[in-house]
Amino acid sequence: MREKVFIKLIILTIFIINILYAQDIKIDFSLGINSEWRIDRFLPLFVEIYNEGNKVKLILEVIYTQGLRYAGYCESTYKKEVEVPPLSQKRFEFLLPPIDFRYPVRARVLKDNKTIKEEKIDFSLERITLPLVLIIGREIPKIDFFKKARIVRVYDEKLLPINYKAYDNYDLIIIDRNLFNSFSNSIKNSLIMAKIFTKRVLFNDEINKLSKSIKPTPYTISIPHNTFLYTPDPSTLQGQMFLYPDRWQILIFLSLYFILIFLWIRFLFQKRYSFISFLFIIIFSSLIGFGINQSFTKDAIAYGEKYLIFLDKNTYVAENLIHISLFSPFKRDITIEYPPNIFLLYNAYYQPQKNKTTLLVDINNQRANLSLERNRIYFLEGISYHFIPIDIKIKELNDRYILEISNNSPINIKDCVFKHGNKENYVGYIPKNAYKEFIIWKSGLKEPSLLNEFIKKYRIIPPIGDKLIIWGRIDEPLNHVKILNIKTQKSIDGIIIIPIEG
Amino acid sequence: MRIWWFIDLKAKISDKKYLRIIYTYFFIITLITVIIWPSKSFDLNKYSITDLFLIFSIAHFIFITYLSSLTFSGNLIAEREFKIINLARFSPFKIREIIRGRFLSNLLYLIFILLILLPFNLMIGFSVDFSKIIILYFLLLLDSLPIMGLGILWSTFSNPSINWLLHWTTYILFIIFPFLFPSTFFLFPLNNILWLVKAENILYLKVNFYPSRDLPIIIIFYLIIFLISILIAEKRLKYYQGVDKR
Repeated sequence: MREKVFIKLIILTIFIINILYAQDIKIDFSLGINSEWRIDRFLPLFVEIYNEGNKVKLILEVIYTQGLRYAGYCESTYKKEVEVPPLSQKRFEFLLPPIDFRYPVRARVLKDNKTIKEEKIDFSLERITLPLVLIIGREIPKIDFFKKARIVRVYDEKLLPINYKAYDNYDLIIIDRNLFNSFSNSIKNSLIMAKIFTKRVLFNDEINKLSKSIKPTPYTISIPHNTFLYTPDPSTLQGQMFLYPDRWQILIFLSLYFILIFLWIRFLFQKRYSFISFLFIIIFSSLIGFGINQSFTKDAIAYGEKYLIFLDKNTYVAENLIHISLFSPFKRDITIEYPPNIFLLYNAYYQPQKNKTTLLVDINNQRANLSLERNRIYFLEGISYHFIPIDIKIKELNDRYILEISNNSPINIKDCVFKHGNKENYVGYIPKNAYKEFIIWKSGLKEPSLLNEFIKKYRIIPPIGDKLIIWGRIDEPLNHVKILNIKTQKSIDGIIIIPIEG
Repeated sequence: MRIWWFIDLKAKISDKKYLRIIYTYFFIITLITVIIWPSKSFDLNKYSITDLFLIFSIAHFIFITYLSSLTFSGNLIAEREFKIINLARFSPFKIREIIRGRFLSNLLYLIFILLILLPFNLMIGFSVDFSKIIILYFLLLLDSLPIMGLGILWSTFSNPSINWLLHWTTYILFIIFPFLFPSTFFLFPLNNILWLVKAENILYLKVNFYPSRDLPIIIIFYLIIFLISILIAEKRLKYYQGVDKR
């Protein structure tokens, strides 16, 4: 009997102590592997949480800033709600756009809306001057330029980022194939994705390819407050139609209304119920007028989307660099719902002479909030990936190429062009779910390549090289970005690049 | 017996002279709206939305004050409407009742026009909420208050050309003159309208009006002008009444 009471007492004290002295949560922020990073590349931010106490719900916020401090800058805040079970260690990963070195990335952890840890993650400029090589494996292969490179060696799966874009940070990644086979699927997938989209990832048995394809270049420091494009491009907004009533509808409404008032004065005013009929006319027209006002202020928003898709023909996986421009003639707050295949969305350009603009991204619900000032264009950028099954077979003869294209995807590709080096030849239209055969005469290839001109605007370019490429235009929405509660037209200008060989 | 000023109001509403004036105004605002209504297609270099509330607040201000000056001074008289001097001479009402009735019939007519304009104002007020329109209406009536009082005073002059001259002098001095120098004197009625439409931010004008400080002052000042002119008008009307009785 006494023992039972004793045990109960002990349990009670443990319980009370647990509540009163909730144990510490240890939080650690780090940027990349050993915090090695390059200035104009995407990179991961890790938040490591060790929970010694009870199960906790935390809110992680990572604030990424770019722009000019005195002329206005833009922030992207990534918010993630996480739950950490008791006595466990968890690691959360954020993907960050290329960092503006003038601003620290700020990270903070909130518990019950109180900040429990806040940290500025600073960078030093020393680290960026040498090429950065990541070796996933125990042995360092002997390669000439390694003498002039900064080498990071990792053989623990836990240290590697899960997001494939985070590997963009490295100039070269060499993976030990045996070690790779022992990794978990998510890491394997992300390494494979990185291999497809950067072409800078090699297995150790492929090193002999290295001399041909990879030449790490030294580079200069520039102010990187933009990522995909060198300058913001609002061209997609030009000529877009707003969905609000036009002036002729307004003319009809106003003239009908004033004529109605005239008729009321002429015929109903001296009658019985004249006051009630007058009130009815006024209230009814007020409602219509207010409706016009509302539809005007609500729907006056222009949305343009520009994107560059790079498709890997072996895996049908495509990477999409999205550039969204938004314009509103009124001050308003908008909520954007974005699909799960967009895995990074950020505020891309600063607004001159404005304090700051903040994009709040709720990663859990895949929603973003942005408040728009009147008469300003806002730019968002993002990356997504898609599955686009397009099969291309090519036969090269003496004087011509024969292309067999079967487009099994739901996308119409317009104005397809065959490109070889700096020469191009127009191919035509490839409708969705269709098979087409084209003959391209070598004598028909003409300089210069439009694609090369187009790509000059892009700071971040998919690995194209001088190989055979098919490229075309898409004007369908691939990313179903939705602005909640607002009707708007979208003008879309997309380019798809499909390398045929290599 | 029905209330005489209500009959007066009815005469105003259905009279052609009044209709012509208000319909000219409606035509002008419809025309301006259609011309400056923002275009539907977005041109990056040109597109902007004109602040229609700003334009039409000032337009309403000019029109409502003009109309109040015109009607209160008795320069616009409907066929079946009563002239104030005739009322003083021949009606059985007291002078104070005559002036009150005169004021009410004209005020209700202004309110009637403001009510007709309500759907229009709701339509063009993109950048403002409903409370701003209410404040606009309040300020319009407040600003026309001294003009109303002075108008009643001018209406007691039986010489129509003096009456007309005084009506235009008041209107120009109080309403048109401040447009040249809006920031000179905070008691000018234009200042509070410019404050309401945020002309300081949009037109980069210096507006000399701070509502918490100036609003009570202008309310008192306008009321004083109104009351003094009404008192003088009463005296003058009593004189007419006296002349007739003598």
